[in-house]
Amino acid sequence: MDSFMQYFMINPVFYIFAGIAVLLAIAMLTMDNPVYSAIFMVLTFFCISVIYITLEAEFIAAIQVLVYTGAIMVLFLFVIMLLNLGRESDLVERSGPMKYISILLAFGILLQIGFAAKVTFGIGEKGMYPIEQVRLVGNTETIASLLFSQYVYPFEIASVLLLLGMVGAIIISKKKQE
Amino acid sequence: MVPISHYLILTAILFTLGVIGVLTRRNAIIVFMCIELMLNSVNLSMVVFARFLDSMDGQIAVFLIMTVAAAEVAVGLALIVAIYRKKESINIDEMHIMQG
Repeated sequence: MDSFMQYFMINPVFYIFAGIAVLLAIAMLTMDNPVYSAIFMVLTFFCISVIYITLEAEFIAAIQVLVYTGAIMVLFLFVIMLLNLGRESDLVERSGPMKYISILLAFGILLQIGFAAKVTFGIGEKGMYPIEQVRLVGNTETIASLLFSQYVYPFEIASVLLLLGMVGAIIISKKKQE
Repeated sequence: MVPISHYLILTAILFTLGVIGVLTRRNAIIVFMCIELMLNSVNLSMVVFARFLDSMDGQIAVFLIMTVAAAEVAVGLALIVAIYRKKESINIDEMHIMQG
């Protein structure tokens, strides 16, 4: 417990926002009204973006806020309001033993993740971008120079995928012509 | 510096909460949000490993995963809208057209 307090003093921001993120995630999946769930989802993702900043990944943090709290939340809220789901909050939820069995299964997955992380802990070659060097150039510039040189094909494929997603979403949600 | 294990414990907890949501909820939109939470926890673990292994590849992968997630959300919500038009419900237990 002493060492935990020691770490807490080093980086209180991480521990505070980690705790808030977990609480908000629990709130997200226990809410009956999907609108509240969407708001809690966005707050959780905002906390995760703060944790990205403690990891000195500023570009990813900015993208997280833009994409998740900007675009994705608006999409979710649009669909919830489009379908007028507020009145459907009395949707029958899973109950009885199956619910507790599935929660147990989820904890089994938690144990598995913990075991996998413990076995592979600290294995791996060191990369070429130590944090001091990245700090000199800047996080965004380092990502950009990699993205437009070594990773240019994945980047292009991602753009094609976005176009496909857009076309697919329009076609799927279009009303059938009578 | 906070040890890597604390970050990984956080990502594991967030992933497990996502799994619990997917397994216990019936509202398709909330199930979808929980899948997003799982994606985000994996993104976080990628950035953590990239930071602790002095690498930049993890952050590039997270950038690409976010692109895929955005496309996935657009298509998934369109699917939910289409299913709602057909069945007047988004209860995932009623979505068994494909069952034999």
